[in-house]
Formats: sequence, structure tokens, C-alpha cells
Amino acid sequence: MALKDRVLIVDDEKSICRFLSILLTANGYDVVTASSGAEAYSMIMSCSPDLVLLDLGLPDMDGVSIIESVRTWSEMPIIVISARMHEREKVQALDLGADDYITKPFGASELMARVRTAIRRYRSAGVGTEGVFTGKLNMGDMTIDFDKHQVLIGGKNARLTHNEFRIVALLGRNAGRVLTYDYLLKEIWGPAMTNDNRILRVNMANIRRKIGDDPAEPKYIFTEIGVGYRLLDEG
Amino acid sequence: MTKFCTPTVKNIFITIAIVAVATVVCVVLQIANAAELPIHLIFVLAVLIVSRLTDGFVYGIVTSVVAVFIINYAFTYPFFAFNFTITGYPVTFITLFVVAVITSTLTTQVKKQQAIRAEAEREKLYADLLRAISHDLRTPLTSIVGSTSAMLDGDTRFSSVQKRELLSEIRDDASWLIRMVENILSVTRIRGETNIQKKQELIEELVGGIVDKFRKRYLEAQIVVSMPDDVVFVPMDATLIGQVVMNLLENAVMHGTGMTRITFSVRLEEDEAVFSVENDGDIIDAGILHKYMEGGFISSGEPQIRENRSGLGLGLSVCAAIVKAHGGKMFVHGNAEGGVCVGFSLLRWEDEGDGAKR
Repeated sequence: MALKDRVLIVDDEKSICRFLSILLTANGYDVVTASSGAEAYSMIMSCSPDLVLLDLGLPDMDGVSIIESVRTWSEMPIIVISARMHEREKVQALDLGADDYITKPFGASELMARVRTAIRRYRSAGVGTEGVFTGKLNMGDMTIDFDKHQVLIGGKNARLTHNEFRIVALLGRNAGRVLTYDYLLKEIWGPAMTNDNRILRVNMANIRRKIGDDPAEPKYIFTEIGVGYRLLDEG
Repeated sequence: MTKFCTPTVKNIFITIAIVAVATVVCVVLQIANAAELPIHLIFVLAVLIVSRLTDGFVYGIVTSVVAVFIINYAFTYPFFAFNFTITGYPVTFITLFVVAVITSTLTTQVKKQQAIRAEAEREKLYADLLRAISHDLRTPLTSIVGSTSAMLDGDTRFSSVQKRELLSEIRDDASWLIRMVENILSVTRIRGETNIQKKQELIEELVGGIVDKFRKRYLEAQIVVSMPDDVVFVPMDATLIGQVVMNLLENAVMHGTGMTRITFSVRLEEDEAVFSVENDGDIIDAGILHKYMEGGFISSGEPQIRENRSGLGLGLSVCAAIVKAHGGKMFVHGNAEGGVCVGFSLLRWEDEGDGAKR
């Protein structure tokens, strides 16, 4: 039998911990749990989990600081579990390198999909993520051609401007993952452009019109209110 | 601009402005040469106004002293020289001084009373909220405890279909409870308009985000969306407004008996963006809905609407509170072809001053 992926659950609330470990075990994962930040640290060091499910509200420390310190030495996938109304916390966690977030209350299938995607993306990473991305990416009718700097819809060039293409390409390289407003702004316009995400959203509105994505019923680019954007993940 | 306007600066500004206006008026009258000028009266008026508009006693008293000097120096013979030997001078001074003290005392009292009344209103709001919560939350909790203990006891043998039914009932009740708790949290978050942090939000993204969530939650609901083609930004707290829209959409599904379709539309007027949710179900008495929106928190356990599922009242009063804190308006009316239309409007432009973060 194949080796099971190991998931570390960090949550101080017993009932949520128990529910998550039953769910993950039933789905074929090896589960370890931690109920405080300090315990989480030692578990991360000793068990080398394949994925961490991290609740941000821990009794002894801010969950965000765990992400920060793990990211100094490892790219292991981290999914943040957060309550609604805590947009700022969520955004901060993503900006510090969390892979994804899921908002309480969540459905079991939603969580399992996120876990699978995060682990898969981590495994397939390593090639091309940092350097120049080449080749093509297909999702439905849309093709992102990284070599020619084009986005094709049903084989037709959508005629995106330079910046518009760069936004779509960036989302494409991170398909399935939420990219925050700040992250996109910094990547596309440079570090000086952090305060006004209006320009990003106007660009996004134009992209949607060019690729024929109805904002009320998007096929490709999904908005996470108050956080950022996520491109559809085919996997 | 308002940020630099501390109360002290504001009070000093008011004092100087009013004394200046009074002086100018007197000068104008003097030039117009109206005989037997009521110079004293004009300054009494100035002292009165200053005492009314400023906080505390200091500004009124200072004004009365200054007024005495101005009257003495500029408006009584000998002009442009001080002469404190004029008969009646102490009377002028004492009159102005007394006016200042009495008016300031009254003003302070009125302000104190206003604060007390506001506090009482807030207390009432919380008491109402608490009452509405306890009433509306008890029903789903009772049913959750009931079904789970029935399943755990093992006395009854449930078929797998029955088990599924019970479980999905429990899930629905529990998710309803979570949404209500979120509503309550939002209310505690918006104790005053100052606590709302507005940011420019793109309408199409807000609508897209909410509709996407709604579709995932209510797979079988038919929803039609219409919104402007233009790129439109509206200042708001997106999480809270998102919650308002979600509440309205859920109400349209849960309380619209016989409903087949929901229409969610956003349209633009000169100064406002108007959001509305309508369904084609049975008409709910608009008067009751109005009552929810205006009269604080009313539990849906009250007799006139007990036939509806609980939570409508709490949800709507939360919506109304959020919209009001944004400076917007809520509305409700029946549809021509049946159904109910509930919605709200938000200002499209930020008011000058605080919160206008670009």
C-alpha cells in the first residue's frame, strides 16, 4: 500500500480537531494534531507533515507567526482555517506564504478538495515556478500561451494588454490558489503600488470583458471578496 | 480636515467667528448711522450663541469679557479709547457675564441628557437583540438535540433514508445557527457609523462573489442576476454588505412560499447604487417587514408571523442596521405579478472627511 500523506491539524478547539481528524483519516490521510502553537512547532519539526491545517486563533501565539517561521526553511503546504469577518488576518496569512485558506463553517468536500490541490501543487512545483514559465496552460475554452504572451479564448486571441496578460499569467501559474490584491499589485506594478488596488480591479474588469467571463457567473476568474482572485483549477 | 479639528480648536474657532461677526454687524450699523444703536443687544446675542455652541463655561465667559472691551473701546464715546468710568458700565458687564453662565449651564445639561438618552436607546437595542436571539435560536437547538439523542439512544431503529433525513435536518439547523451568530457578531461590530471602514468596492466583484457562494449553498435555487455593464466602484465594507445581500437572498428562498425564481439586480442612479432582491413567491405583509427594518429587533416568534420559519426578523433587522450604518436606505414592496421585493441603496460617493481612504 502506498505511503499515506501526513496532515498536521493545529486547532485548540477539541471538537473541530476531532471532526477534522475523523474526516481526514477516513479519506486515507495519516493525521497528527496539535492544540497550541508551541506543540505545532515541535510537531512540524519532528513529524515532517505533508500539509498543515492551521487555525489562526491559537491560545499561546498568533498563528500567523507560525507561517512566518516555517516559511524561512520550508515550502510545505499550509492551509489556514479562519472565521468569517477576519479578512485582514486571512490576507496577512496569505501574504506571508500560506497556500490557501478555508472559512468556517466549511463543507467536508470543500476541505478535501483544498487539501488535495495543495498537496498536488506542492509535488508538481519545483519546475518553472520561480523562473520563466513556458508552454501553454489550458482550462476549458481558455488557453494561456506563456511563450507568445497571449490568452486565447476558443482559439481566438483575446488581445490582452501587456499588464492584463501578466495578471492572467500570474493567476495561471498559481491556478486554484488565491492571490491577494497586494501580492498581485506588487508583482505587476512593483512595490510602490501597494495602497490603491483600484487599478488592479479596473484591469481585472477589462480582462473579464475581453475573455467573456460573466462576473455574476464566472468560468475562469473567481473573486474572493476582500481578499483577492483565484483562477479555476482544472485538476 | 476633520481629523485636525479637535473640540478645543473647534470651540476657539466658533468663538472668534461669532465675536467677529458681531463686531462687523456693529460696525456696519455704526457706518449706516442708525441712531440709538442696540450695540449691547447684539453682543448679548453673540455671547448667547457662543455659550450655546461651545462646550463648557470658558468660551462664553471669555466672550462676555471681550465683548465688554470691544463695546467700550470701539462703540461708546470716546471712540477708540478705553474709558471705564461711563455710567452703566458694570451693568453691561454683569448682564453679559450672567447670560454666558446661564446659557452654558443649560447647554451642558442638554448635552448630558442627550448622552443619557442615547445610552438608554442602545440598552434597549441590546435588550431587544438578546430577546430576539434567545427566542429564535431555541427552536433549531431543540430540534438538533432531539434528533441526535434519538439517533444515539438506539431505542428507535431508523432506516438509512430516515437517518439521512435527520442528519440533513441537523445540518440545516446548524448552518442556520452559524449564520445567525455571524449576524449577531456583525451587529456588535457596528455600534456606530465610525466603526465601519469603507473601501471602494467593484460592484461586479461583490455581486459575483456573493452569487457564487449563494449558488453553492442553494444548489436548486434559480437566480437571475442583472447589473450595470460599466465598471462601478461603491464605497462600503464589503463583508458586511455581502452579508446583507446574502441575508436577503436567503430570505427570498426560505420565506418565499411557492417561489420559483429569484432576481437579484443592481442599478445605478445619479448618486446611489440600488440593490434589490425579488422573488415570485407569496406576498409577505409589507407592514411586518417594515416593522423589522424600523423597529429594532423583533423575534419572529411573535404571533403575527409564526407561520413563517424563524429568523426572518433577526436577519432583516441586522440588514437594516448595517445599511443604516453605511448611510444607506432599505426598502420593501410587493411585486406587480406577485412576490416580494426587498432592497437597499448605498451612496456612490464618499462623504468628505473620514474614511475616504484612496
